[in-house]
Amino acid sequence: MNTFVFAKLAATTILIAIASSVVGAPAAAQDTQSAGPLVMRRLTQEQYRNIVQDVFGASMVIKGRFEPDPRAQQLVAVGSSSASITASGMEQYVHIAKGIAAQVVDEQHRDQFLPCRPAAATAPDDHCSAKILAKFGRLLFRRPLQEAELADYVKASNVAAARVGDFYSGLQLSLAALLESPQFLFVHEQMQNDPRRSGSYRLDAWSMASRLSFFLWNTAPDTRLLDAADRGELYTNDGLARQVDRLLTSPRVEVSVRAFFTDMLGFDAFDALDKDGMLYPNFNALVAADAREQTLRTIVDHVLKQQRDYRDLFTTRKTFLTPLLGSLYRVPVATPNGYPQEWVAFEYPQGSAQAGILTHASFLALHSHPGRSSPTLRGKAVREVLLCQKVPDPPANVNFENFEAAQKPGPGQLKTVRDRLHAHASEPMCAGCHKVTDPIGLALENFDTIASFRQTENGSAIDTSGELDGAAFADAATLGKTLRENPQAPACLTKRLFAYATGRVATKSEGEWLKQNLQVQFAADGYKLPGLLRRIAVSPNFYRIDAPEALTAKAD
Amino acid sequence: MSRKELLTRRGMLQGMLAGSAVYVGLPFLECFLNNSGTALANGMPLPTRFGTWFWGLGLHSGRWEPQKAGKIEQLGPELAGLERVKDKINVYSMMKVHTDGRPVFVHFTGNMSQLTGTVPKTNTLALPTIDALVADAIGTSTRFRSLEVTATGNAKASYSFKAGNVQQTSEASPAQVYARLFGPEFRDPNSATFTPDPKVMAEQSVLSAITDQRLGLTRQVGAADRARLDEYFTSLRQVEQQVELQLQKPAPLEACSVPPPPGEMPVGTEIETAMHTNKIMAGLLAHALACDQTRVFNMVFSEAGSALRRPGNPMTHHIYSHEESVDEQLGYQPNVSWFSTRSMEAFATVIETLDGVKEGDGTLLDHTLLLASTDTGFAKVHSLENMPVLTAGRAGGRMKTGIHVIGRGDPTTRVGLTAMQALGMSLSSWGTGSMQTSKTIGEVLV
Amino acid sequence: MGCTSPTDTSRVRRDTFRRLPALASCMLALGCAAAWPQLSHAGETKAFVVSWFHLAANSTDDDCPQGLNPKGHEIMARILAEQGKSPADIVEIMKGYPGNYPLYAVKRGSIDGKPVNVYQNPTSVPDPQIKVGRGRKGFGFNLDGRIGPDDFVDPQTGEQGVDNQLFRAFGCFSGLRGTPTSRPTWLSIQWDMSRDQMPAWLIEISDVDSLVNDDSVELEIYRAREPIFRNVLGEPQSFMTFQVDPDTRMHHRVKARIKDGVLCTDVFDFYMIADFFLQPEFIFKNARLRLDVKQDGTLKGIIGGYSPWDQAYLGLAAGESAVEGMVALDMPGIYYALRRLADGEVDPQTGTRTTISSAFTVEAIPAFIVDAKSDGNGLTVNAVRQEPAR
Repeated sequence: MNTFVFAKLAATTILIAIASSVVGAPAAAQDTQSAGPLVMRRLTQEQYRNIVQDVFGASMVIKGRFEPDPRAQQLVAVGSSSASITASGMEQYVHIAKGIAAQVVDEQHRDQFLPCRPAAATAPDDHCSAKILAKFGRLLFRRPLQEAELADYVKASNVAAARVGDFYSGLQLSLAALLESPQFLFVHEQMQNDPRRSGSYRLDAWSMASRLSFFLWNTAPDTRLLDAADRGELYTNDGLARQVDRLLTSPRVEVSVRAFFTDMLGFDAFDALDKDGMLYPNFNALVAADAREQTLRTIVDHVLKQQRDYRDLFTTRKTFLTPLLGSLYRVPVATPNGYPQEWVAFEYPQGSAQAGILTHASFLALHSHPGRSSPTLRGKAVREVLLCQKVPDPPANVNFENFEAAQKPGPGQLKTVRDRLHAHASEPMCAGCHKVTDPIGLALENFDTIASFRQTENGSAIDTSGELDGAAFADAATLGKTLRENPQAPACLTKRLFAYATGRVATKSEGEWLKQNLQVQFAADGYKLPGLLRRIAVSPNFYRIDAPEALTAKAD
Repeated sequence: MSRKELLTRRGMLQGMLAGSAVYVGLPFLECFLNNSGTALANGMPLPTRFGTWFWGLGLHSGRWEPQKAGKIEQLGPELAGLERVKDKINVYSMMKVHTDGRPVFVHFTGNMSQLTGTVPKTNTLALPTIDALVADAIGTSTRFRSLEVTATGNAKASYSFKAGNVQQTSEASPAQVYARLFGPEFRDPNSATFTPDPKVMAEQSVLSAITDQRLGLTRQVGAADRARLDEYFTSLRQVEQQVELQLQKPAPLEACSVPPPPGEMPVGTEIETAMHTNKIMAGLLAHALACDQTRVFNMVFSEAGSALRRPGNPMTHHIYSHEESVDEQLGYQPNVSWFSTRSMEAFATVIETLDGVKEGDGTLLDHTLLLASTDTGFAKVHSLENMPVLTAGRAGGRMKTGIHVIGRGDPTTRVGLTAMQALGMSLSSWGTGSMQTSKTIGEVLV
Repeated sequence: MGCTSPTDTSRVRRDTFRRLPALASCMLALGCAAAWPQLSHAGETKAFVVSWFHLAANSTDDDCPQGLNPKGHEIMARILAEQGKSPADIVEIMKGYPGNYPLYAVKRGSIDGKPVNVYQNPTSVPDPQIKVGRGRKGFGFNLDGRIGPDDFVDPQTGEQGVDNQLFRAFGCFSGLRGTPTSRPTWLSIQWDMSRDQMPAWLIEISDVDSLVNDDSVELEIYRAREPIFRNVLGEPQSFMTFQVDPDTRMHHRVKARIKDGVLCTDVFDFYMIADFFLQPEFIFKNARLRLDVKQDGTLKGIIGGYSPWDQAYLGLAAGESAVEGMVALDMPGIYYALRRLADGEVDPQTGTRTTISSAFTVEAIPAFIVDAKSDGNGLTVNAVRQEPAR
């Protein structure tokens, strides 16, 4: 990303900072808000990779598989607060850790990574092990190692080195142990007494640093942030703001914005996405990867680089395409070199049906069946993913009689999916949910299961009109406009962003703050994302914790 | 075996080996024998294995059940694929899930109630599934406590849950299953020599640096996290055990052989691909069992709701189940029935694969108990009536086979209870609410 | 219904072949517009990329009355016999077939008593007199305006006097036989093997008012800069975007008309650089193209014209003994047959005919075409030539 854009971003955020500089001593109202219990969050696969890359460089090969990251409350970020590690998962973590550690200590890399040399390569060396393990322990555990902790790892390293007769083998195993430790794999936050308010508790500085770093960069705190934590700077408004602005104005914030939207839009489902190869031979794994990237690139450009209104994502005709995506959308995509997966900025012409991220393949293909589109799945996704509305589960024991009668060939046969779904909607048991989902999805029926445009279905014209919460629309483009004007859309984004940041949904007591401080301000800012990111990052609410439950010191 | 005993043994090993590569013929230690191990008379005890096999969307009532209770004479058309092995299976009909008025989460309540014995109140589970209970009983001494695989390419397709809603991940790639089983960490029971690797011993000592922190860490967290840390340390212990096992020469196993690697292959929900993957996975599992790498396994052929499909056809198994009419003449949904029948052929493949491995004076299947279950009775309406349940294998001689049992609206937990008893677990009842039962199916137990 | 053959036959028997730039020949032959390339067309433009290209074969049960040409092991046995091996020796040597085939086949030619590579010197062995096709029905066009005894009747159009001697030369080799529904095996394998690296061929039909009946459209053929991209079925991905290769030798433009969904072009000269796995160049002189414009948006048809037969020979013989043995194609036999059946231009110096009438199947799928212009630093994209498909 070019520095000009980020200078602009910096200027904007600093202006906001000046305007909202009175984020200081906790207001009395906040004392009645609850943050819920403090829970550990398991590293997501991406966070794991980001940290390894930060600490050991991009050339580090990660060999092994990660357990799927579970979802809760529509987010992987929230699922991480209840995820544990199974035996097969641990097996893989150990395998991956040993692989990484082997590369760090091998002859090719040891000069680059290790701050010292052992006295003898064939024997343990306390001093050097301690230096190395303290350095990496701090970065991986996201806080300085305690003396006893460090001693344990140094001892382990020595014992291993003695056993094998090689310092580096011992070091490899103890470095791997750092990566296998729950202190690395789980983000485990610590609290301490708050000296400013007796009887209260606060997160310790390194826990604050972790929260901030995972929120804005989706990775562990870098050395500068750890240093700031060491010096207690994060406890002051200015100190915290300085770090927040440093992170926000860095190109690395794009990593977290991508991770957030990947999470919110459910892109992990791409891993298992299956389309019928005979009916849709143009859709393959490369196309799927491009479809996912198209939406992320579009979003990042729109909300971060251009700093435009979030709501315009539902109407914008600007996007990025590759020739391969062009073959999906059936548009010519001219690129400098003609490679099938080469990216270019692209704008659909005025009046095009392709406007807004609802018409992206990432949305349309993800929420469809392998062999045909699904208005119900797409409508459900709009409700649950973009509007934070819950659609109830389908009931058991549904009555299909009327529907079956109308499926038979003949004059009354249902030709389009709208006709078939209408039969659902007329059955009282089904109507409740289907009228909430289907009209939205039906507006998108011009796009088949792989997002290719079509005018007819089974020879019948496709009717795309409908309404969303009272607002009527005629087709996909006007659906996008309707969604843009729906206040639930930006409200949902703030809720999801807060949940992504904290690993939990906001508690009831935080609801008012969420509305007034985040949602109202987001609107006042013109729905620009960087301001929202900053507002959360500097808010005491982001770091607030409840008083601890009585922790019994039970031996296991 | 307690931690203290283990430490001593480790110390003993360390003393003996002092880092050098030496052949050590260690006896098969008692603490690694399971409950059902017999005496070391003619070589090794043949362990009993347990496996689950899952398919989605049930079967059509009236099209699978044998006519009469007792010896299976004739299988219904949807079980035609099992004809060749009908004397090695048991069929349980007219069993159901009693929901006690709890909400039915479609493609979840049916299967998870069966597998945990309890109807879930929400869409998360409080209790472990039957395979986790069995693994606790018979799976503690092998390299893998259990193995989970799936045939349609989705690693999240798993109905194996440990306590606390911890879902086991399924392996979706046969090549990766192979690498995990027979990669560098595999110790061939039948190889002539064995040299314990000093590096592996070194790894042992290093892992204890982590486990030693357990107490301190557990003290610092809240109740919810304590359970998760427990799970973590249990998993780490499993890895430690794998490391320990790497330092022992395993007892020879006549039936064990290392298969050739399967190579990369496409996986997905197309029916023929799923059938093929199912077959390859069954083969790998058979080798894993014969080489005593695990004694518990879970296979998900098609997921609850079944995404199986045929190329060129936009209607999946699931869509057919809801949208295809019951044919007036035939009395069932022809396309749905087609998928159900193929699913049962896939089950037959697994049975035949296990039966094809000679072991002791019988086959691997004789020493296994396989439990097949699904998520619905009549899938069109998500019915939980007449939910098909099948078992295969003789559980090491504890189970009779070739029998059709007709429940009278009994909960499916009767089968699970009977299965666990056949495996030597001492429990007299299982399940909660109306799913609770203490009525063992005596007619299938020896 | 078909394309009426041109009445102007004066260009057909040219005695020298000069590879004129396509533009120049276009101007000479058709008097087409001087400015090139032009983007302003009235009416719509449809673009396609060629998916299949191979000999248009119409093999039947009775078109090789003396049977098909010998199989690989039969060729080897014959070669051994010609080399004077005894029957007992032949039996022994054949045990090592096909692995030892090159040993006996490659240097079986002889010039001045010295053994030479027979593929590079096909006349260094006597003519083995391969069997050639004798069918009556075959695809193509009446190129010379006459109805001769060796001509075909086109099974699709009913046109008489169709010239496709290439098909006769190849017609009794099982690896080269084919029908409208079953592609000639070896030739389609060759095409398929080349597709991933050979720059694709593009067809553009412009000035289209109707794809069913339009008495005046323009057809252009170019080479692209990129090869096709395969979809999950291994076929070319449709609606991909291709850039035009600036090499004007491979820019063709010809007038055409569409009647009842069949497009027919005027006569033009076709030239394309091909690929190592195929043959070096495809040249059709006095060519015409007939394409069915299908409902699903694809094209399928025939291109016919006179091709230099040495290229056809090279396309097969470059594979030397591997192809000769594996596909059972007696290479010198093919050379002699091509020479014998050639019915096109006469080389004034040697007095032999250098080109042979040929008809090839062409299939094409929808694509997008863009012009690319070099600004010295690299290629920038100039203009997209079609509307998005709607």
